[in-house]
Amino acid sequence: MTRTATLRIVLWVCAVIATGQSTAAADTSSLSGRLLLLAAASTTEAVDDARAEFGKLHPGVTIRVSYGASSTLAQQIAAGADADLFLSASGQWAEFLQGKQLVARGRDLFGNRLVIVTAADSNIEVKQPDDLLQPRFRRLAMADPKSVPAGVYGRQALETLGLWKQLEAKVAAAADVRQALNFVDVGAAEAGIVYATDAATDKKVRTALVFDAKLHEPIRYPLVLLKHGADRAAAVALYDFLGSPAAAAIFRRHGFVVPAAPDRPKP
Amino acid sequence: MEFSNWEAWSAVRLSFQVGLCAVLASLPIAIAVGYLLARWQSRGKWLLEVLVNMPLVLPPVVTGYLLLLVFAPRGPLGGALDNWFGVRIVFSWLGAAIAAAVMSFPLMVRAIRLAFQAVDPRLEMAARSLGAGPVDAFFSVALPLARSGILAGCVLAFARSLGEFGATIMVAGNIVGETQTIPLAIFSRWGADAEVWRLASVSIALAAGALLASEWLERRQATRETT
Amino acid sequence: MKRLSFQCAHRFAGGFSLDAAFETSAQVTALFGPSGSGKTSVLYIIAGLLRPQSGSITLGDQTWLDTRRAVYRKAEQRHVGFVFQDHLLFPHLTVERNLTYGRRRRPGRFGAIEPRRVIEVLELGDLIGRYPRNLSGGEKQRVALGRSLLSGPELLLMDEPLAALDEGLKERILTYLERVVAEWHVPTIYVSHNAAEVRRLAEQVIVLDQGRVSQCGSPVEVLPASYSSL
Repeated sequence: MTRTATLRIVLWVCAVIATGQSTAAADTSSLSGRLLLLAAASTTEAVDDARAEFGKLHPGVTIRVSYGASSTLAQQIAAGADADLFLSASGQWAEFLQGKQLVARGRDLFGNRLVIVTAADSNIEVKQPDDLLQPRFRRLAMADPKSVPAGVYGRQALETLGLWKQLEAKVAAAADVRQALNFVDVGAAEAGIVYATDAATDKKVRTALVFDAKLHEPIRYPLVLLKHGADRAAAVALYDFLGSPAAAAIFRRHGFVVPAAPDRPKP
Repeated sequence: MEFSNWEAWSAVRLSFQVGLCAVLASLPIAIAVGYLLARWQSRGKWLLEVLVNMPLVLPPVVTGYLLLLVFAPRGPLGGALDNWFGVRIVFSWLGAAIAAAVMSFPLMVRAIRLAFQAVDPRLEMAARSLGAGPVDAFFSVALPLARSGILAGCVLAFARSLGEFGATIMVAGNIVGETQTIPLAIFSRWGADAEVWRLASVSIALAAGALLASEWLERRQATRETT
Repeated sequence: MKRLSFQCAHRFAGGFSLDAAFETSAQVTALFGPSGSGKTSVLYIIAGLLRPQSGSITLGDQTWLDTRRAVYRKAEQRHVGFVFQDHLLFPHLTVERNLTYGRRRRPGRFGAIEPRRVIEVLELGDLIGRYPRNLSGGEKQRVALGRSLLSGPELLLMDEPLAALDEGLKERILTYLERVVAEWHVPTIYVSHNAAEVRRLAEQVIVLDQGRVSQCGSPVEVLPASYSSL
């Protein structure tokens, strides 16, 4: 062999050793690193399960997750926290980060359904949204319809139905969906509007009605790969895994709506 | 949505770890500031008082956000700490400790200042006349006589750290096992899990115990002969 | 006996102004005057516990203060023994630790003042292991006296040491003071508004009135026989 060819091969071997990957299809179990994922609190159980699955495939990767309000998480990223991925409960905060040039890639992971819940031990029926106008519904619990995504979608649905003006006065605005459920639990509100996923976890409430998805903007949970994570193999692997069919099955199990159609990756 | 025992214990362990660290780290500064406020006569004193008491009146989230800006990897202190020591503050228990320390600082200073105010300053003058310099007089006379009140300040600050939420969640985030202290754990699991009440009762018991201890110590300081 | 030279001018926050000067080489010099005349402030200034706006203090060949030449010796470096009106014993220390407080900070300065002799003269033997809170008023004042002596002072400053004691006790402690003066001859400035005490102890009397020296001389000259106290 010529000297340059030998040199090339030697360099290539060194490069391979240095990056710790073989030239065959990625040997995933050799991936390692500590990742930081910031995820909306409403996705807690689902993400925990997905994370465990990922851990079986890549035992060398440690995933730290901080659950919180999407707005808080986005602010933390914008202030310089070095997170690798961000799972938001609304498009607004993903776009906020994109505006700050912090986003490398993004995709919508799943959606959700909006439902009306009542206390499980009550026999209050809600056959259609109009029923909420009845006087026996004194208070309607919702996450803050001005700022929290779940509340915003709820308001949109009621506006589309032409019920918002009359129901606005009955609304008991809560800091988040969890608190809204609490209001219904303890009887402070006779009914509440929450995500289907949250309703499923609270045994003290019963889903009375599912809103037609067309009544509000599509509920989306964008997953963002931040620039900080874009050049880390483990982060990219997690990003890809969360968009994979295996992860989709986990999300469906928790009640999230996973689009069967291909996602729309952002450049 | 179970609240596993490990997670519950993690929260308790973290809360203690964060609280102890916060108190120990801020103690020397709190003693210095408390002493200064007790003894210093100056028209500029009000500025120091305002600064010290800020975390008491600002919304915790605002304090947390300011800390985040300072300690983020791109921030003034965060960058230096990362480059020189490889230490990450944001999203780590250190961040939780700093948030707790800042939020409980005013309470600590207040108790310590009261303690030093109860010590007759002329005792330090007597010490000076006997050949002790100002620092010597402080350590040999003022500090020992103020120790009950200082301890009360520590206990109070620890109790406050146990309940710290708003600033912590901003700086340290909510990572189970790493930064999810008792208040964060309770908040994250509220409503859906009755077991969370166990943690809440632990929280209440600790807070009540700490307040009682602090009260007793302050009373001891008041009745101690310091003149 | 070393010569003490004192001069100072200071305006206090409340409006009171002190403008006094005197010199003395007496064994015991009394600062006599009504309360509020500035006697205690003079003592504090001599001790270095109060820094005047202008003034000068020299003891023998040492200059402790000279504002014109920006000389200021810190309190802990002026070897004074201060006896306060309310003893100011350290409550957290035993009598023994109180007594040795000054010694531990100025090792080897005693010269003629021997610890055992001080304890003997002031009869402190029984009190050594006790805490100040368990002592009577007279005992506390004796310990305070002992504490100042044991720090090896070149100058003793006494701020109305008998004022807080009741009549019978005053006489007893006065006796101890006389013993101290007779035994060790440390130059002493004695502040009081009680003429009887001044007559017994002092060779030189300086009368202060509203911050100014109004008279200066021997007790016989300055205090008429009918004066008992102000």
